[in-house]
Amino acid sequence: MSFLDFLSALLLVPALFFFVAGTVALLRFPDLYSRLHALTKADNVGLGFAVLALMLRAENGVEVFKLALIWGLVLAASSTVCFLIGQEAVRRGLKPWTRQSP
Amino acid sequence: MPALTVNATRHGSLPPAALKRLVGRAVVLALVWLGFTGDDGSSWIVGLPAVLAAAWISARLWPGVRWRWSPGGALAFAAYFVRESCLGGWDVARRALSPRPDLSPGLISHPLRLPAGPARHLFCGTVSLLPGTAVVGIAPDRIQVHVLDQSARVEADLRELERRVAAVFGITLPAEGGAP
Repeated sequence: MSFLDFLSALLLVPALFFFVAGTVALLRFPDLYSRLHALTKADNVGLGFAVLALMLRAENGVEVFKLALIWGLVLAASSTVCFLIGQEAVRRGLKPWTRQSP
Repeated sequence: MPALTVNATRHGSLPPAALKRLVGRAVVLALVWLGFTGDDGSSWIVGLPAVLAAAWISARLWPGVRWRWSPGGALAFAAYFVRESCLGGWDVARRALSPRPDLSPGLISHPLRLPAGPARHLFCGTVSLLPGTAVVGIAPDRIQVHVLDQSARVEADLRELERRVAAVFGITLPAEGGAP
């Protein structure tokens, strides 16, 4: 196993952690709005680490470019979809969950 | 840092300018497609209609405006964005994995100071990727933001993001507290 392979495997650890944490957040957060945070933040960072890990294993520069492009497009789509879902929820009058008792 | 003029399309969109814009966008999108598919020639059966449709929609929805950007501001923004994304991911992970989800969410309204156009798009696009904030409404002069923690210094964080976006486009923001 070369040094780059090792580094690549190492980067997959935080990637996995953030994807798992994002999924846990999706399941445990109390309402639609807070779940949007789980999808847009934890998963994006998880994907970022996964993309970095795969870049280290890329055959050539074109693959590195392709991976960077995928990451950028997923970020843009994720942010846009988050806004569209949130906007529709506000429009339908969905009240955000608030903490009742301390 | 000298600001570069990137898109020199004129405001009064004459048909030749509109055509130029359409062709320019199609070329950029075709390069993106080429980046994804490499030398797989048959992919263009799907790619060509997709590129043409996307260029047409893009030119219709977003007519060209003059905009400038500063490479130094963009680099600083990229570094800031990566750092804040990690903090945002960590913040969600910490709240999700704590024994009782540690949240006190709410909606806030944030007055926009950036001018309409690419700067505002970049701002609204990145707010949702940064710690504890998600855009759920956009009005001409303000945005509605859902925050995970109302006690956090969200307002200051949004001001900071605004300043950094303004630096990318070489924009001078109006003074603080201009809008109520």
